[in-house]
Amino acid sequence: MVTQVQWWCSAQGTRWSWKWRAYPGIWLVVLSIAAGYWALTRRGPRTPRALRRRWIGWVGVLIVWLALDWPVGPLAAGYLASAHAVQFLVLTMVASPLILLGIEPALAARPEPQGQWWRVLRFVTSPIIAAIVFNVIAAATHVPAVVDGLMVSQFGAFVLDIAWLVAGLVFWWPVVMSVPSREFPVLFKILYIFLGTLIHSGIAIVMLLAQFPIYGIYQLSPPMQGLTAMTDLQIAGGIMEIGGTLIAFSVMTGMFFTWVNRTTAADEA
Amino acid sequence: MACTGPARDSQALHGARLPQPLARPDFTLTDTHGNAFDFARDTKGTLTFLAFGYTHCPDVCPVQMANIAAAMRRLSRADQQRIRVVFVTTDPPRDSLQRLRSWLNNFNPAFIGLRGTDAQIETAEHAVGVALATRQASVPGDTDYTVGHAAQVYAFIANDTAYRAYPFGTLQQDWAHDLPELLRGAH
Repeated sequence: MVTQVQWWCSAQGTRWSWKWRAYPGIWLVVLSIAAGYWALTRRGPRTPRALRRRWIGWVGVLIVWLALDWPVGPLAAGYLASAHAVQFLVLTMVASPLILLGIEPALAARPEPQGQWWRVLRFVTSPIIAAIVFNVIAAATHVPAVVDGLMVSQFGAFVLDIAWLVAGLVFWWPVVMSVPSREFPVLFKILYIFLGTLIHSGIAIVMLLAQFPIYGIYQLSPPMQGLTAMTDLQIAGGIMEIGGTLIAFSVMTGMFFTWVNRTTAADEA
Repeated sequence: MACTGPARDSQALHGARLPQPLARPDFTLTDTHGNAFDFARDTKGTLTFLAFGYTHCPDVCPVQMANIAAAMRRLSRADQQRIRVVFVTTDPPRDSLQRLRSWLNNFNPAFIGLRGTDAQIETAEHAVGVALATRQASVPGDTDYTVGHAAQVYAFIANDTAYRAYPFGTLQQDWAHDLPELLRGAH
Protein backbone atom coordinates (compact mmCIF):
# COMPACT_ATOMS: atom_id res chain seq x y z
CA MET A 1 0.00 0.00 0.00
CA VAL A 2 1.37 3.43 -0.96
CA THR A 3 1.13 6.08 1.71
CA GLN A 4 1.35 9.67 0.61
CA VAL A 5 4.16 11.38 2.48
CA GLN A 6 3.73 14.97 3.52
CA TRP A 7 6.89 16.97 4.06
CA TRP A 8 5.22 19.38 6.50
CA CYS A 9 2.08 19.16 8.65
CA SER A 10 -0.90 20.91 7.10
CA ALA A 11 -4.67 20.59 7.33
CA GLN A 12 -5.79 17.50 5.42
CA GLY A 13 -9.49 17.29 6.20
CA THR A 14 -9.18 13.61 7.02
CA ARG A 15 -10.22 11.95 10.24
CA TRP A 16 -7.58 12.17 12.98
CA SER A 17 -5.61 9.01 13.53
CA TRP A 18 -3.08 8.19 16.22
CA LYS A 19 -1.13 6.27 13.60
CA TRP A 20 2.34 7.78 13.36
CA ARG A 21 3.19 9.72 10.22
CA ALA A 22 6.55 10.89 8.88
CA TYR A 23 7.20 14.54 8.04
CA PRO A 24 10.65 14.64 6.40
CA GLY A 25 10.60 18.42 5.95
CA ILE A 26 10.31 18.87 9.70
CA TRP A 27 13.24 16.53 10.31
CA LEU A 28 15.29 18.46 7.77
CA VAL A 29 14.51 21.82 9.36
CA VAL A 30 15.17 20.53 12.87
CA LEU A 31 18.43 18.95 11.70
CA SER A 32 19.40 22.29 10.12
CA ILE A 33 18.65 24.10 13.36
CA ALA A 34 20.64 21.49 15.29
CA ALA A 35 23.56 21.80 12.86
CA GLY A 36 23.50 25.58 13.09
CA TYR A 37 23.33 25.40 16.87
CA TRP A 38 26.23 22.95 16.98
CA ALA A 39 28.30 25.14 14.65
CA LEU A 40 27.63 28.23 16.77
CA THR A 41 28.37 26.62 20.11
CA ARG A 42 31.17 24.12 19.44
CA ARG A 43 33.93 26.70 19.79
CA GLY A 44 32.37 28.43 22.77
CA PRO A 45 33.86 28.64 26.23
CA ARG A 46 34.09 25.41 28.23
CA THR A 47 33.25 26.78 31.63
CA PRO A 48 30.72 24.79 33.64
CA ARG A 49 28.18 27.59 33.18
CA ALA A 50 28.68 27.68 29.41
CA LEU A 51 28.47 23.90 29.13
CA ARG A 52 25.31 23.86 31.23
CA ARG A 53 23.88 26.57 28.98
CA ARG A 54 24.84 24.53 25.91
CA TRP A 55 22.76 21.61 27.17
CA ILE A 56 19.84 23.95 27.87
CA GLY A 57 20.06 25.04 24.24
CA TRP A 58 19.93 21.43 23.06
CA VAL A 59 16.76 21.02 25.12
CA GLY A 60 15.39 24.01 23.19
CA VAL A 61 16.20 22.31 19.88
CA LEU A 62 14.51 19.13 21.11
CA ILE A 63 11.43 21.13 22.10
CA VAL A 64 11.27 22.68 18.61
CA TRP A 65 11.22 19.18 17.16
CA LEU A 66 8.53 17.98 19.56
CA ALA A 67 6.39 21.05 18.86
CA LEU A 68 6.56 20.66 15.08
CA ASP A 69 6.48 16.90 14.54
CA TRP A 70 3.75 14.29 15.01
CA PRO A 71 1.44 14.37 16.93
CA VAL A 72 1.48 18.05 17.99
CA GLY A 73 2.24 19.33 14.48
CA PRO A 74 -0.64 17.70 12.60
CA LEU A 75 -3.06 18.26 15.49
CA ALA A 76 -2.17 21.96 15.46
CA ALA A 77 -2.26 22.20 11.69
CA GLY A 78 -5.66 20.78 11.02
CA TYR A 79 -7.63 19.67 14.03
CA LEU A 80 -7.39 21.71 17.23
CA ALA A 81 -7.00 25.42 17.83
CA SER A 82 -5.88 24.46 21.34
CA ALA A 83 -2.97 22.44 19.95
CA HIS A 84 -2.15 25.41 17.74
CA ALA A 85 -2.02 27.63 20.83
CA VAL A 86 0.26 25.16 22.61
CA GLN A 87 2.54 25.07 19.58
CA PHE A 88 2.70 28.87 19.44
CA LEU A 89 3.56 29.19 23.13
CA VAL A 90 6.13 26.42 23.06
CA LEU A 91 7.93 27.74 19.99
CA THR A 92 7.90 31.42 20.93
CA MET A 93 8.06 31.34 24.72
CA VAL A 94 9.94 28.15 25.59
CA ALA A 95 12.13 26.80 22.79
CA SER A 96 13.37 30.18 21.53
CA PRO A 97 14.79 31.51 24.82
CA LEU A 98 16.33 28.12 25.63
CA ILE A 99 18.17 28.05 22.29
CA LEU A 100 19.39 31.61 22.85
CA LEU A 101 20.58 30.71 26.35
CA GLY A 102 22.65 27.97 24.72
CA ILE A 103 24.36 30.13 22.12
CA GLU A 104 24.83 33.24 24.26
CA PRO A 105 28.18 32.24 25.86
CA ALA A 106 29.67 31.29 22.49
CA LEU A 107 28.55 34.47 20.76
CA ALA A 108 29.57 36.67 23.69
CA ALA A 109 33.08 35.16 23.67
CA ARG A 110 33.66 35.94 20.00
CA PRO A 111 35.38 39.11 18.89
CA GLU A 112 32.58 41.32 17.69
CA PRO A 113 32.20 40.70 13.98
CA GLN A 114 31.53 43.53 11.60
CA GLY A 115 29.45 43.42 8.49
CA GLN A 116 26.05 44.04 7.11
CA TRP A 117 24.38 40.96 8.65
CA TRP A 118 25.64 41.88 12.08
CA ARG A 119 24.27 45.41 11.66
CA VAL A 120 20.90 43.99 10.59
CA LEU A 121 20.92 41.71 13.61
CA ARG A 122 21.77 44.62 15.90
CA PHE A 123 18.84 46.59 14.47
CA VAL A 124 16.28 43.77 14.52
CA THR A 125 17.17 42.71 18.06
CA SER A 126 17.08 46.19 19.54
CA PRO A 127 14.28 46.05 22.12
CA ILE A 128 11.70 48.25 20.45
CA ILE A 129 12.13 46.69 17.02
CA ALA A 130 12.20 43.18 18.50
CA ALA A 131 8.99 43.81 20.41
CA ILE A 132 7.34 45.21 17.28
CA VAL A 133 8.47 42.25 15.16
CA PHE A 134 7.20 39.76 17.74
CA ASN A 135 3.86 41.48 18.24
CA VAL A 136 3.22 41.99 14.53
CA ILE A 137 4.02 38.33 13.74
CA ALA A 138 2.02 37.05 16.72
CA ALA A 139 -1.00 39.16 15.84
CA ALA A 140 -0.86 38.59 12.09
CA THR A 141 -0.47 34.84 12.40
CA HIS A 142 -3.63 34.61 14.52
CA VAL A 143 -5.86 36.52 12.10
CA PRO A 144 -8.48 33.95 10.99
CA ALA A 145 -8.03 34.64 7.27
CA VAL A 146 -4.27 34.16 7.60
CA VAL A 147 -4.56 30.93 9.59
CA ASP A 148 -7.27 29.53 7.31
CA GLY A 149 -5.29 30.54 4.25
CA LEU A 150 -1.92 29.23 5.33
CA MET A 151 -2.71 26.01 7.14
CA VAL A 152 -4.29 24.27 4.18
CA SER A 153 -0.97 24.09 2.35
CA GLN A 154 2.26 22.53 3.52
CA PHE A 155 4.24 25.58 2.47
CA GLY A 156 1.82 27.92 4.26
CA ALA A 157 2.00 25.86 7.44
CA PHE A 158 5.79 25.82 7.16
CA VAL A 159 5.87 29.63 6.81
CA LEU A 160 3.68 30.05 9.86
CA ASP A 161 5.72 27.69 12.04
CA ILE A 162 9.03 29.25 11.03
CA ALA A 163 7.60 32.75 11.52
CA TRP A 164 6.77 31.82 15.11
CA LEU A 165 10.23 30.46 15.76
CA VAL A 166 11.86 33.55 14.28
CA ALA A 167 9.49 35.82 16.22
CA GLY A 168 10.42 34.04 19.45
CA LEU A 169 14.15 34.25 18.80
CA VAL A 170 13.90 37.96 17.95
CA PHE A 171 11.76 38.72 20.99
CA TRP A 172 13.96 36.94 23.51
CA TRP A 173 17.24 38.11 22.02
CA PRO A 174 17.39 41.43 23.93
CA VAL A 175 16.54 39.59 27.16
CA VAL A 176 19.01 36.73 26.86
CA MET A 177 21.85 37.92 24.65
CA SER A 178 24.59 40.38 25.43
CA VAL A 179 25.56 40.82 21.76
CA PRO A 180 25.49 42.61 19.38
CA SER A 181 23.90 45.32 21.55
CA ARG A 182 24.96 45.75 25.14
CA GLU A 183 22.74 44.15 27.76
CA PHE A 184 20.18 46.50 29.17
CA PRO A 185 19.17 46.75 32.84
CA VAL A 186 17.19 43.93 34.44
CA LEU A 187 14.26 46.11 35.43
CA PHE A 188 14.02 47.32 31.85
CA LYS A 189 14.08 43.70 30.67
CA ILE A 190 11.23 42.87 33.03
CA LEU A 191 9.21 45.78 31.69
CA TYR A 192 10.06 44.68 28.13
CA ILE A 193 8.80 41.14 28.76
CA PHE A 194 5.66 42.41 30.46
CA LEU A 195 4.73 44.82 27.68
CA GLY A 196 5.95 42.59 24.88
CA THR A 197 3.87 39.60 25.90
CA LEU A 198 0.59 41.47 26.38
CA ILE A 199 -0.23 40.30 22.87
CA HIS A 200 -1.01 36.86 24.37
CA SER A 201 -3.79 38.38 26.40
CA GLY A 202 -5.11 40.25 23.39
CA ILE A 203 -5.28 37.09 21.29
CA ALA A 204 -6.68 35.13 24.23
CA ILE A 205 -9.44 37.68 24.84
CA VAL A 206 -10.50 37.51 21.20
CA MET A 207 -10.66 33.72 21.46
CA LEU A 208 -12.46 33.68 24.80
CA LEU A 209 -15.06 36.28 23.87
CA ALA A 210 -15.71 35.04 20.33
CA GLN A 211 -19.35 34.38 19.51
CA PHE A 212 -18.37 31.69 17.02
CA PRO A 213 -15.33 29.55 16.31
CA ILE A 214 -13.12 32.10 14.57
CA TYR A 215 -11.03 29.67 12.52
CA GLY A 216 -12.89 27.94 9.70
CA ILE A 217 -10.15 25.35 9.43
CA TYR A 218 -10.77 23.98 12.92
CA GLN A 219 -14.53 24.40 12.70
CA LEU A 220 -14.69 22.32 9.51
CA SER A 221 -12.10 19.75 10.49
CA PRO A 222 -13.22 16.21 11.29
CA PRO A 223 -14.35 16.53 14.89
CA MET A 224 -12.26 15.17 17.74
CA GLN A 225 -14.26 13.01 20.12
CA GLY A 226 -16.43 15.07 22.45
CA LEU A 227 -14.85 18.44 21.69
CA THR A 228 -16.85 21.11 19.90
CA ALA A 229 -15.09 23.78 17.83
CA MET A 230 -16.26 26.43 20.29
CA THR A 231 -14.94 24.59 23.34
CA ASP A 232 -11.67 23.98 21.55
CA LEU A 233 -11.36 27.70 20.79
CA GLN A 234 -12.05 28.59 24.42
CA ILE A 235 -9.42 26.11 25.57
CA ALA A 236 -7.02 27.73 23.09
CA GLY A 237 -7.82 31.13 24.58
CA GLY A 238 -7.25 29.76 28.08
CA ILE A 239 -3.91 28.26 27.06
CA MET A 240 -2.82 31.54 25.49
CA GLU A 241 -3.84 33.56 28.54
CA ILE A 242 -2.78 31.25 31.36
CA GLY A 243 0.20 29.66 29.60
CA GLY A 244 1.56 32.94 28.23
CA THR A 245 1.10 34.78 31.51
CA LEU A 246 2.55 31.92 33.55
CA ILE A 247 5.69 31.72 31.41
CA ALA A 248 6.19 35.50 31.25
CA PHE A 249 5.65 36.02 34.99
CA SER A 250 7.85 33.05 35.89
CA VAL A 251 10.69 34.56 33.88
CA MET A 252 10.08 38.04 35.24
CA THR A 253 9.92 36.77 38.82
CA GLY A 254 13.10 34.76 38.38
CA MET A 255 14.91 37.74 36.87
CA PHE A 256 13.72 40.05 39.62
CA PHE A 257 14.87 37.84 42.48
CA THR A 258 18.18 37.12 40.77
CA TRP A 259 18.68 40.86 40.43
CA VAL A 260 17.70 41.45 44.08
CA ASN A 261 20.12 38.76 45.29
CA ARG A 262 22.96 40.10 43.17
CA THR A 263 22.31 43.67 44.29
CA THR A 264 22.18 42.61 47.94
CA ALA A 265 25.35 40.58 47.60
CA ALA A 266 27.11 43.49 45.91
CA ASP A 267 25.97 45.89 48.63
CA GLU A 268 27.20 43.53 51.36
CA ALA A 269 30.55 43.15 49.63
CA MET B 1 -50.57 27.46 10.30
CA ALA B 2 -46.90 28.40 10.47
CA CYS B 3 -46.04 31.64 12.26
CA THR B 4 -44.48 33.24 9.23
CA GLY B 5 -45.56 35.84 6.78
CA PRO B 6 -45.33 35.43 3.05
CA ALA B 7 -41.98 34.29 1.68
CA ARG B 8 -39.52 37.17 1.29
CA ASP B 9 -36.78 37.23 -1.30
CA SER B 10 -33.37 37.85 0.17
CA GLN B 11 -29.96 38.16 -1.39
CA ALA B 12 -28.43 38.45 2.04
CA LEU B 13 -28.78 34.78 2.97
CA HIS B 14 -25.47 32.93 3.16
CA GLY B 15 -26.80 29.65 1.81
CA ALA B 16 -26.23 28.84 -1.85
CA ARG B 17 -29.19 29.65 -4.06
CA LEU B 18 -30.57 26.62 -5.89
CA PRO B 19 -30.81 26.94 -9.68
CA GLN B 20 -34.50 26.04 -9.40
CA PRO B 21 -36.69 26.19 -6.31
CA LEU B 22 -37.32 22.70 -5.00
CA ALA B 23 -40.75 21.65 -3.76
CA ARG B 24 -40.81 19.76 -0.48
CA PRO B 25 -40.27 16.17 -1.63
CA ASP B 26 -42.63 13.35 -0.92
CA PHE B 27 -41.08 10.20 0.50
CA THR B 28 -41.68 7.96 3.48
CA LEU B 29 -39.01 6.33 5.65
CA THR B 30 -38.81 5.01 9.19
CA ASP B 31 -37.87 7.33 12.05
CA THR B 32 -35.72 6.33 15.02
CA HIS B 33 -38.82 5.40 17.05
CA GLY B 34 -39.71 2.85 14.40
CA ASN B 35 -42.65 4.85 13.04
CA ALA B 36 -43.33 5.70 9.43
CA PHE B 37 -42.25 9.25 8.67
CA ASP B 38 -43.90 10.94 5.71
CA PHE B 39 -41.49 13.75 5.01
CA ALA B 40 -43.87 15.99 3.06
CA ARG B 41 -46.76 15.53 5.48
CA ASP B 42 -44.86 15.45 8.77
CA THR B 43 -42.75 18.54 8.10
CA LYS B 44 -45.32 20.54 6.13
CA GLY B 45 -45.24 24.28 6.81
CA THR B 46 -42.15 24.16 9.00
CA LEU B 47 -38.60 25.26 8.34
CA THR B 48 -36.94 21.92 7.64
CA PHE B 49 -33.32 21.10 6.96
CA LEU B 50 -32.81 17.89 5.03
CA ALA B 51 -29.45 16.14 4.93
CA PHE B 52 -28.23 12.81 3.60
CA GLY B 53 -25.30 11.11 5.28
CA TYR B 54 -24.18 8.32 7.55
CA THR B 55 -23.04 7.96 11.11
CA HIS B 56 -19.59 6.56 10.23
CA CYS B 57 -18.95 9.67 8.14
CA PRO B 58 -15.56 11.02 9.24
CA ASP B 59 -15.96 14.64 8.26
CA VAL B 60 -18.91 16.20 6.42
CA CYS B 61 -21.88 14.80 8.36
CA PRO B 62 -20.70 15.44 11.94
CA VAL B 63 -19.46 18.92 11.03
CA GLN B 64 -22.72 19.89 9.30
CA MET B 65 -24.86 18.51 12.13
CA ALA B 66 -22.67 20.12 14.81
CA ASN B 67 -22.80 23.50 13.12
CA ILE B 68 -26.58 23.45 12.67
CA ALA B 69 -26.98 22.38 16.30
CA ALA B 70 -24.65 25.12 17.52
CA ALA B 71 -26.51 27.76 15.52
CA MET B 72 -29.89 26.50 16.76
CA ARG B 73 -28.76 26.78 20.38
CA ARG B 74 -28.51 30.53 19.84
CA LEU B 75 -32.22 30.76 19.08
CA SER B 76 -35.01 31.01 21.62
CA ARG B 77 -36.57 27.71 22.65
CA ALA B 78 -39.75 28.69 20.81
CA ASP B 79 -37.83 29.31 17.59
CA GLN B 80 -35.88 26.07 18.01
CA GLN B 81 -39.18 24.22 18.16
CA ARG B 82 -40.18 25.73 14.82
CA ILE B 83 -37.26 23.99 13.07
CA ARG B 84 -36.96 20.37 11.96
CA VAL B 85 -33.62 18.85 11.09
CA VAL B 86 -34.03 15.58 9.19
CA PHE B 87 -31.06 13.32 8.61
CA VAL B 88 -31.53 10.43 6.16
CA THR B 89 -28.96 7.69 6.47
CA THR B 90 -27.38 6.53 3.23
CA ASP B 91 -25.83 3.58 5.03
CA PRO B 92 -28.71 1.44 6.33
CA PRO B 93 -26.60 -1.73 6.73
CA ARG B 94 -24.53 -0.11 9.48
CA ASP B 95 -26.91 2.61 10.69
CA SER B 96 -29.48 0.85 12.81
CA LEU B 97 -32.28 3.02 14.16
CA GLN B 98 -30.66 2.82 17.59
CA ARG B 99 -27.25 3.85 16.28
CA LEU B 100 -28.80 6.68 14.29
CA ARG B 101 -30.64 7.96 17.37
CA SER B 102 -27.57 7.73 19.54
CA TRP B 103 -25.42 9.56 16.97
CA LEU B 104 -27.96 12.37 16.46
CA ASN B 105 -28.32 12.80 20.20
CA ASN B 106 -24.68 13.94 20.21
CA PHE B 107 -25.88 17.04 18.39
CA ASN B 108 -29.49 17.58 19.34
CA PRO B 109 -32.03 15.04 20.61
CA ALA B 110 -34.70 16.79 18.54
CA PHE B 111 -32.98 15.96 15.26
CA ILE B 112 -34.94 13.43 13.28
CA GLY B 113 -33.17 10.36 11.91
CA LEU B 114 -34.67 8.40 9.03
CA ARG B 115 -33.76 4.98 7.73
CA GLY B 116 -35.13 2.69 5.05
CA THR B 117 -34.13 0.06 2.59
CA ASP B 118 -31.62 0.96 -0.09
CA ALA B 119 -34.49 1.25 -2.55
CA GLN B 120 -36.47 3.55 -0.25
CA ILE B 121 -33.45 5.77 0.29
CA GLU B 122 -32.84 5.92 -3.45
CA THR B 123 -36.44 7.03 -3.85
CA ALA B 124 -35.84 9.82 -1.36
CA GLU B 125 -32.65 10.85 -3.14
CA HIS B 126 -34.48 10.88 -6.47
CA ALA B 127 -37.25 12.98 -4.95
CA VAL B 128 -34.74 15.60 -3.81
CA GLY B 129 -32.67 15.31 -6.95
CA VAL B 130 -29.33 14.52 -5.36
CA ALA B 131 -26.78 12.03 -6.64
CA LEU B 132 -27.31 8.51 -5.35
CA ALA B 133 -25.04 7.51 -2.49
CA THR B 134 -22.33 4.99 -3.30
CA ARG B 135 -20.43 2.71 -0.94
CA GLN B 136 -16.71 2.63 -1.52
CA ALA B 137 -14.71 -0.12 0.16
CA SER B 138 -10.94 -0.30 -0.27
CA VAL B 139 -11.27 -4.09 -0.23
CA PRO B 140 -14.39 -5.68 -1.74
CA GLY B 141 -16.66 -6.95 1.01
CA ASP B 142 -14.93 -4.86 3.67
CA THR B 143 -17.41 -3.46 6.18
CA ASP B 144 -15.14 -0.50 6.90
CA TYR B 145 -16.25 1.39 3.81
CA THR B 146 -17.00 5.02 3.14
CA VAL B 147 -20.17 6.31 1.52
CA GLY B 148 -20.14 9.00 -1.12
CA HIS B 149 -23.26 11.13 -0.63
CA ALA B 150 -24.70 14.58 -1.18
CA ALA B 151 -22.96 16.94 1.23
CA GLN B 152 -25.37 19.87 1.06
CA VAL B 153 -28.23 20.49 3.46
CA TYR B 154 -31.49 21.67 1.88
CA ALA B 155 -33.57 24.32 3.63
CA PHE B 156 -37.31 24.01 3.05
CA ILE B 157 -39.04 27.08 4.36
CA ALA B 158 -42.62 27.43 5.53
CA ASN B 159 -44.01 27.68 2.01
CA ASP B 160 -42.79 24.10 1.46
CA THR B 161 -40.09 25.10 -1.00
CA ALA B 162 -36.30 25.09 -0.78
CA TYR B 163 -34.54 28.00 -2.41
CA ARG B 164 -31.21 27.50 -0.65
CA ALA B 165 -28.82 24.68 0.12
CA TYR B 166 -25.88 24.74 2.50
CA PRO B 167 -22.80 22.99 1.17
CA PHE B 168 -20.01 21.57 3.29
CA GLY B 169 -17.94 24.54 4.36
CA THR B 170 -20.90 26.50 5.72
CA LEU B 171 -19.73 27.97 9.01
CA GLN B 172 -21.65 28.32 12.26
CA GLN B 173 -21.81 32.06 11.72
CA ASP B 174 -23.50 31.48 8.34
CA TRP B 175 -26.06 29.18 9.91
CA ALA B 176 -26.62 31.57 12.78
CA HIS B 177 -27.17 34.39 10.32
CA ASP B 178 -29.60 32.48 8.12
CA LEU B 179 -31.72 30.57 10.64
CA PRO B 180 -33.73 33.58 11.88
CA GLU B 181 -34.07 34.84 8.32
CA LEU B 182 -35.34 31.49 7.08
CA LEU B 183 -37.77 31.35 9.98
CA ARG B 184 -39.12 34.69 8.79
CA GLY B 185 -39.61 33.19 5.36
CA ALA B 186 -36.68 34.79 3.59
CA HIS B 187 -35.34 32.97 0.59
